[in-house]
Amino acid sequence: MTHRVAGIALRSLESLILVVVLVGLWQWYTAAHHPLYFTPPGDIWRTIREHWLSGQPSKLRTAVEPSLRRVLLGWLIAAVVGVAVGVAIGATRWLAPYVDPLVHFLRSLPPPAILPVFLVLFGIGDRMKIIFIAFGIVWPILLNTIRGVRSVPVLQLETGRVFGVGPLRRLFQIVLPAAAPQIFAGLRIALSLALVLMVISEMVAASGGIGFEILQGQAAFDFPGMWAGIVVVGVVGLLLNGVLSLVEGRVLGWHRGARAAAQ
Amino acid sequence: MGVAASRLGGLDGVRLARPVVRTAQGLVGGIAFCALWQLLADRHFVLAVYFPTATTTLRSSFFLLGHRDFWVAIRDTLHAMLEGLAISILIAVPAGVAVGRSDHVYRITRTVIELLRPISAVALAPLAILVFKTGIKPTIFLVVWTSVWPILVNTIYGMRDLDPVAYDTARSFGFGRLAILFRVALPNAASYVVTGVRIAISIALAVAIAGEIVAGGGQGIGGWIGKESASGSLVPVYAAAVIVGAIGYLINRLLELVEQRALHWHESLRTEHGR
Repeated sequence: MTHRVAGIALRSLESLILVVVLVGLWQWYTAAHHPLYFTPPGDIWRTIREHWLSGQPSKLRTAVEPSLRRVLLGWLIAAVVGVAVGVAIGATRWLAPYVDPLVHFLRSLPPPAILPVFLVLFGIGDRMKIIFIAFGIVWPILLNTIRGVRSVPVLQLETGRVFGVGPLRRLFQIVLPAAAPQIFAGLRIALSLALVLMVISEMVAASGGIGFEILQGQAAFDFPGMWAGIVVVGVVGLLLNGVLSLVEGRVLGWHRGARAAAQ
Repeated sequence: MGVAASRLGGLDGVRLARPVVRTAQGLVGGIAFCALWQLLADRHFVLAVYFPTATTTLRSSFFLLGHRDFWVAIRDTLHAMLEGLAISILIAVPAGVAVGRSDHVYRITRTVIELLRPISAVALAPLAILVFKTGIKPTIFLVVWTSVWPILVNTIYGMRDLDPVAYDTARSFGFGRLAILFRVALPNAASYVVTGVRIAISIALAVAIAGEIVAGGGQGIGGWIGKESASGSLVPVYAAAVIVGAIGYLINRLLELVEQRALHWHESLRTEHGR
């Protein structure tokens, strides 16, 4: 018993020790040598506490909230559209050779290259950023959904049909569960891309948000402010990824179990 | 299912004709898309300079191919992307092998990797400008930052996914540690590394252009697009996007081919780790 407790304690110590050492080294080096652009972690934390977590108005309200809204809305729109269209294309098997190259081409289009188009067509507000993010990240979701739906074993579909399962139930109980792992892989790639597009759209069309704060900090030589923004982007990414992993674990938990049992 | 179909189709002349048919079908899809685009743009919901027709855009793309400035911009972007990728591979593969080999090192480094990975590259652009000044270097740094994580994580996966039976077999045949590393562990991890590189490349072009827009000092495709869109017409932006998309398409397709050809023996190819 004490062995197990000691083992768990040792493991969590192991997983944290490098973080502590690195932050300590950074603190020690920056405090001792005062490099121009690198702020000590203590100062970054103080900036986050005083300007982001508190203050009137706090940047939690003025920067983090709008950024989160843009990323989540853009990602949700892309997820709904990508999965719906992906299922339609994936299930229509004769369509594949006609659509595949086109989808691959659109997926290869780097979203930042068409940022000016979105700026001109939709202005610099929230609407532009949400549409830009959704358009930029829908392709990996679409592509993975198509792949996932096509990988559903024909035997399962035929069995469902033979047993008189209707098309809607076939979709929700056979096709989507079988395609779920691929769809989640697409959603995950889309999420990290969404964060990139959020930051760049906020830097180019300056109207608030975490990306705007980072650029502002740099331009005003407020380096603790810049670093605080970078840390906050990391935390937001970490949280969103964590939530997605939780959902994925819930949704795919049975899947892994079923696969393992079948082997 | 695809494998079975191609085996059945490979019996006679059908196999030779298939790529041709496929290409033709793909072209039909592309033409249908352009026709739809043409119809939409012709209704003039928005000004023609902001949403040009497909024919205007493609004609403009064709003219762009003769522009020296445009090729210089493409060269700079590809240079930043490829140099960044090369640096990432040189960092991430040895690091991934080192981390993946040992349970201790894996547990110690895991948290740091999980904490650093979600910091999106563009957020570091202002810092990159401060540290690397202007020119191509900030962009290369951003590409490296983006590409290192998928390659590193996939390499670690590959090293840790080693079949214990293969390991024990090699040991019982008297292989030393180095021999096991080079003849069992690394070949096993290779397909994971390639998948990591492919994921990295699919994002690297976008990040390189994003870096040029924010931190490039007017260089590369990002800089070129910035200059052109300031002139008031978006036609060159659309035209350039078509060419850049085509380049990205060719790169992605080429990589998929390489992955399939070089590692067809490896079962892990059928699944893709999105991380």
